[in-house]
Amino acid sequence: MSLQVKAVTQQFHGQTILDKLDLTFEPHTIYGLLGRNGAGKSTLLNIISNRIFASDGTVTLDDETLVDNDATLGRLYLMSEVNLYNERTKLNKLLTTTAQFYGDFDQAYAVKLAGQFDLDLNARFGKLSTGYRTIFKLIVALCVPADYIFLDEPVLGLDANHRELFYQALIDTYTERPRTFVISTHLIEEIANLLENVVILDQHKIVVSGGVPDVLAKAYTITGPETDVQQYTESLNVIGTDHLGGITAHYVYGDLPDDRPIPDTVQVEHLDLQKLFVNLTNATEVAHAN
Amino acid sequence: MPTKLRTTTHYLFTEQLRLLGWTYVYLIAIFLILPFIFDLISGNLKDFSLTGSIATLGLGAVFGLFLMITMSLTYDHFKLFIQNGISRKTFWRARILSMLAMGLVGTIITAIYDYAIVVPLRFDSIAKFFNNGNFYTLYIHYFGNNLAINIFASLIMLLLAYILLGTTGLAFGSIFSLLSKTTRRLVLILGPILGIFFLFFIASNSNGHSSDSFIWLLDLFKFLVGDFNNAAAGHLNPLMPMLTMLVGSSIMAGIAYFFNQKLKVKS
Repeated sequence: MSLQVKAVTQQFHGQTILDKLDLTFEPHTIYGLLGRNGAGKSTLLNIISNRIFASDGTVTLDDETLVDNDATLGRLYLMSEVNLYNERTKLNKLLTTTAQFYGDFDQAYAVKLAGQFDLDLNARFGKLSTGYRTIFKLIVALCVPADYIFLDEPVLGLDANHRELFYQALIDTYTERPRTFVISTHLIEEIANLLENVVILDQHKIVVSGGVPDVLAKAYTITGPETDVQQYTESLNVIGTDHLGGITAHYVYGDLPDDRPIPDTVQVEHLDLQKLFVNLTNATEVAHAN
Repeated sequence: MPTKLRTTTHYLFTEQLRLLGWTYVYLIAIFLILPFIFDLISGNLKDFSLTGSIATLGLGAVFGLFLMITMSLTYDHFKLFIQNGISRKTFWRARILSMLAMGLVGTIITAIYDYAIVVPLRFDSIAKFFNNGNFYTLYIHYFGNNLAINIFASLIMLLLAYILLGTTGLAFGSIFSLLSKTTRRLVLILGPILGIFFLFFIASNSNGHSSDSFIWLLDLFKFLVGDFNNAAAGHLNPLMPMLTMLVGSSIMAGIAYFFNQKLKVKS
């Protein structure tokens, strides 16, 4: 029981957008799909949901293809940044249409959420602001009976209050009916506590994939006088550095050596997800720039 | 029938029925109510003929145009269906099924309009209706003089014509959905111009004065519409155009399927 992405490659006009991606989304798990602009997150989600075709590779759900397959496509829902709903259609009608195609759509919860978000379901989709379009799409995403929900930029245009409301609704619905959520967003700090697993895409490849605690357990900040820090982090996977006054910080991703004593002048702490992401993706950029 | 195919077909069919209703409302408003209002305002009400206007509304022809246009609307439906987990194959099948159902609806509407309204208002009998410029005039004597058989055959031809128009709309709509906005505009502008130029070219080359190179095209056309050995009007073979439309529809449906499978969401 899982959604598997195998050796997915996407090329467009001679440019590689995704480069032989291998990935597994397990059931009943909340994933964060992180990456800088242009890393290929939306392309990956569009390929998974069969909205576009991969140049190479396969995507399967429980070993069944997702290409042109009603049975598997009906088990996932992608809330995308691109609006696929007809602008002239009223929201009520769109909910009914979604219920027709997905079956078992939680209409009562949709109406309840619309009330909490102050969303007028008699409005036409095209008349909504960016934020309210996002809210509507989120409501649909939280109420469809799909096993895999992909949220591409789920808080685009949402104010802080609405974002809080969404995160709470996500926790509530996940607790009540666990399923897989894959959240692609740039607001890492806000969702860090929600995530169980994380996938970081950079330069069209997966650079990190795993459980958030496991990933963060291998992410360190080593601070202290420059020479001591440099000595300690020599030959380790340093993904970034900072200097403030006489203090130097090296960001390391990977296991620390057991046989190397930590100098008294050096402090070792764990990185948070956002800091890890920034340094991992900056590091690659520097490497590529060189 | 699988649930998703049934749901998708039902969605498309009911939407097309709704659009057809609105089309007829606009048709009546433009060709019945507006002329009446103009004649009323200009004091020429005696020139207005309600029965004449109703009898010349041309519901059948309008339906053909309607079916072709609505069937060509591809991308908006594709977006909605792929958002709702409907595959391209199911989308194509549903469009074919809803088109067939709509073709049947159109045939019934046209039959009721022709035989219950046009014939009593403009012609004394169905025989006169068939003999006065109806498309079936060319074939009226082929099956003999049995009116029921001729009505049935004419309706089958009409249904097949609608299906051909529908599948042509499907094919062009699927192709157009793959083009960029600029290319689409170019095709829409240049297509008709080149088409007209081509027709003039054929016409000028097939009049016997300059060249016989396009005579074969004219002969092919005659063959396809059932005109064997220069048969007289009314004696053409209706089975041939039926077969032509059936084969043409299959080809168009095939083209629609091929391009439908390549549909993708534009970012």
